[in-house]
Amino acid sequence: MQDASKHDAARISGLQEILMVEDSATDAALALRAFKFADFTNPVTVVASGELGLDYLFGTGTFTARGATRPHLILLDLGLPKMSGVDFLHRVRADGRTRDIPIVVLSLSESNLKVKACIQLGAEAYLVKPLNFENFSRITAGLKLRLTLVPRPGAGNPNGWVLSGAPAAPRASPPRGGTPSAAGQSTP
Amino acid sequence: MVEDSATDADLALRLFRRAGIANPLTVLPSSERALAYLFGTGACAKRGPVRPLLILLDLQLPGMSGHDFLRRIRSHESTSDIPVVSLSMTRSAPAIMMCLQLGVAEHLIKPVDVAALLQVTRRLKLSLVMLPPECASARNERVCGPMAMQA
Repeated sequence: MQDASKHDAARISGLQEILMVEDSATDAALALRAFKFADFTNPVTVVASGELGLDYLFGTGTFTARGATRPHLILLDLGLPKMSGVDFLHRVRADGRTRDIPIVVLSLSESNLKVKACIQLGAEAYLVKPLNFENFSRITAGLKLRLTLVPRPGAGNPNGWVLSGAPAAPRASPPRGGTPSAAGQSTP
Repeated sequence: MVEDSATDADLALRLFRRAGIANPLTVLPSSERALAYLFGTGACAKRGPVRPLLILLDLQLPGMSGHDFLRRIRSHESTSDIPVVSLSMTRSAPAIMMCLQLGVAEHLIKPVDVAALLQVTRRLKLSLVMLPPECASARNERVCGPMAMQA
């Protein structure tokens, strides 16, 4: 239920989401922390597998209630369990509804052959992990996805980091330091 | 941005580009021209008054000093609440203290890196958002660059 309300908050804020397909909780937390540091406001949804990523995009499975979502950008880890990053990319590029969503591939090394396969499949760019805000913003600038400084509305931060679809433990725990949305949750 | 050094202005433009920030940056080479820009007088009369999101103010300026510029904009109702970040090459404590007394939000020592810039914008409660390409056609540019203003 809490997830649903966070999703609603993200929708109300009117900002398009970013989908991150990443099974490593550490890497996801590092990326979220980098975004939080820069006060990057677009909500980020992290899903832990390619299957969940497709569910998110097409509004199936866990995301049936929410319906299909069209994110601004997909950040795709290559080393995923079960469905590989390349397979995910294939599926996203094969469907008319998702074909033109920019995808940035995250990889541990530049020399990975899979990176080349991804670029051939239409991934816009790749980033070598760990993802930090500086190289992220450089990529988005190259993709003409422009970042703009705007006054933060009110005192409340509209940031809605959404961690969903992650296995119960330890991945479901928000990055250390807390996220704005996690701050509202009661702690024992 | 109020900056008389073309090199430093270029560095700032590059910094914004590196940070991926697309807000247009207007560089003005002196306090006098910056005041004309803000209040829509003199060379900027056609444009009318402009209210920027943020002012980056170099302290070593020819003519009217950065401190006098600050006093002027702080004494005007329309500009008194625009956040100002002052910049200097040296860590001169009295100059920086005076800026803070004049209501400068932050002081940065040049050269400024992306992390420092983002830290400051964050403390100033400015958020970064990614907008669809059609809403974000603004480009970094020098609207009244030193050359254009001198002409």
